Amino acid sequence: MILMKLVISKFIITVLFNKIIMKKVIPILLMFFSCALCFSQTTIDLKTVPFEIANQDFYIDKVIDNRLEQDLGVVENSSYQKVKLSFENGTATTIQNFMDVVLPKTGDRAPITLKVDHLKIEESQTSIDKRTARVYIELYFYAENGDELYKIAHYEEQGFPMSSLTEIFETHEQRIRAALEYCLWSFITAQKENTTNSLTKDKMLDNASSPKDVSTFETYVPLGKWFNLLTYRRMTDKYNEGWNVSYTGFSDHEKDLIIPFVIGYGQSRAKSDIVRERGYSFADSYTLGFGFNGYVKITPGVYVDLGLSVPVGLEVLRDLEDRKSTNFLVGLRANQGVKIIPWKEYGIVIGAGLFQQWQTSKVINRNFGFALEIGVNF
Amino acid sequence: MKIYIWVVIITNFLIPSVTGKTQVQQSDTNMLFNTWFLDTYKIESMEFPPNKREKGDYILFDEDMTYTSTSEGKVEEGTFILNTSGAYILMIDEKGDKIKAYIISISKNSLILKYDIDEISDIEVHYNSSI
Repeated sequence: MILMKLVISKFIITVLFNKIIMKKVIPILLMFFSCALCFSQTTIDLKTVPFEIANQDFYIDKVIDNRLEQDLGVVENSSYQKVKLSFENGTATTIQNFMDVVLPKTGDRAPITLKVDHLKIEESQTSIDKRTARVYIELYFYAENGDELYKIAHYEEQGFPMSSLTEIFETHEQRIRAALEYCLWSFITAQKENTTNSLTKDKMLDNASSPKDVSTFETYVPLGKWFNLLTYRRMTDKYNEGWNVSYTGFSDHEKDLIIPFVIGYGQSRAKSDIVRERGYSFADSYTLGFGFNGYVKITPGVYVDLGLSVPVGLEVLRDLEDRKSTNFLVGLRANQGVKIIPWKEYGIVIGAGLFQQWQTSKVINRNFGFALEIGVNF
Repeated sequence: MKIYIWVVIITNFLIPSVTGKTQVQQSDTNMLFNTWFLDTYKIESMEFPPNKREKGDYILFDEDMTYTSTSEGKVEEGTFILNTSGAYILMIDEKGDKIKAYIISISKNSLILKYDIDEISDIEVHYNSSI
C-alpha cells in the first residue's frame, strides 16, 4: 500500500515537474544561454590621419571584404564587459575611405583592388603583468586585369600593463590603421624590388644591397587565453602526507612549452612510525615553493605538467622527550603529471602526478610519491 | 538633450588626448632623417646616464629608408619602416631580425624612443641630434 502510494506520488510529481519545465524553465534556460553567447555590439571607425607616400603610382580602386564573419572580434571595454566590435560603416567602406585619404586617386595612377581575407582584433592577458592587444590582417592586392600582385598576412601587436583596459579599447582603431599602413609599405617595397629585379636581370647587378624582404605570410594562430588556477593538492609518499595550495597563471598557446607563473604554500607531516624511528614524536614542515613549471599542451584542456622547484621553509619537530626544535628546510623537488582543464572560462581543474623530493629534513631526506590535485580555473 | 550632445562631443575630443600613444605627424617624419646620439635613459622621471661603453652610440636614419647604428661600439646596418599610424619605427638588420621602437616624441633636436623589448619596454631612450 505504502509502496503504491509512493509510486503514485512519484508519478504525480514527475508529471507536474515536466509540465513546469516545459512551460517555464526551458524558455528561461534558452534565453539565458543565448544571451550568454551574444555580446553587446559596439562600433568603431578609423580616424582620418593621412600619411605621405612619396612617388605614389597606384591607388585603391576597390575593397572587397572576403571574410565570413561580420564583426572584428570580441574585446573587453573599460568596464570589463565583453563587447563585439565592428566598423560603423562596414569593413569594405571603412577601409576604402581610409585608402581614399592615404592614396588619392589621380589620372595617371594604376587602380588596385584590395581583398580582405582576415581582419581580426584580439586581446588577452599574456603574462602575469602584461596584456597584449593585436590585429591580424590578411590582404591581397590585384591589378586591374585581375592578376594577383601581392599578398600579406601580418600581426600588429602591442603590449600594455595590466591596468590599461581603457587605453587598449581606445587604440584598437589605431592598430588597424597601423596594420593597413604596414601592408601598404610592404606592398610598395615589394613592387620596388620587382622593378629593380626586372631592370637588373639584363645588367646582372648584385642584389645583396637591396632591402631585405620585410613581408612574411604569417598564418593565423588565435591569441592564447590567460588561465588563472587555484588548486589544492594532496601528496602522499612512503613517509609523509601533505597538502599544497597554489595559484597558477599561464597564457595558453599551441606551440612550445608554456611557462606558467606559480606561487604556492604547502604543509606536510611525517608519518608517525618513521618519525618515531628517528627519535621524534612529530615533525611538521611548512614550505613555500618557488620554481619553474612547464606545461605541454596535448589537446585543448589537457596539459602535461613538468616542474622543478625549490621548497624553502621550516620543519618543526618535537622529540620523544617532548622538546621542541626547528630546522631550516631547503630542498629540490621534481614533478611530472597531467592537468585537465575542461572548461576555458570558468570550471574545475583536475590533476594527477608523481613527484621526487630531496630536502634537508631531520626525519627523511629523500622521498618520492604521488599527488592528486583539484581546483578551479577563472 | 542639447547639453548631453555637447558633453559627448567634448569628451570625444578629450579622450584621444588622454591616451598615452602619440600621433606622429607627417611633418615629423622628415625630422627623423638625421643622426641621433644617445643622451640618457629615463624611467618615471628618474634619469640614468648611459654607461661608458655606450658613449658615442648613435642611430642614423637615412632618407632611402636605411639606417646605421652603433650599440656599445658595435656597428649595425639595415633598413627601416616608419609607421606613422602606429607611431613606431621597425628596424630590420642584415640578419633579418626586427626591432620595434615606439616614437614617444620627436622634435628637431630630440628623439625619445621606447623599444618593444620585454626587459626595457618601460625605459625611455633619449637621443639628441647633432645640430
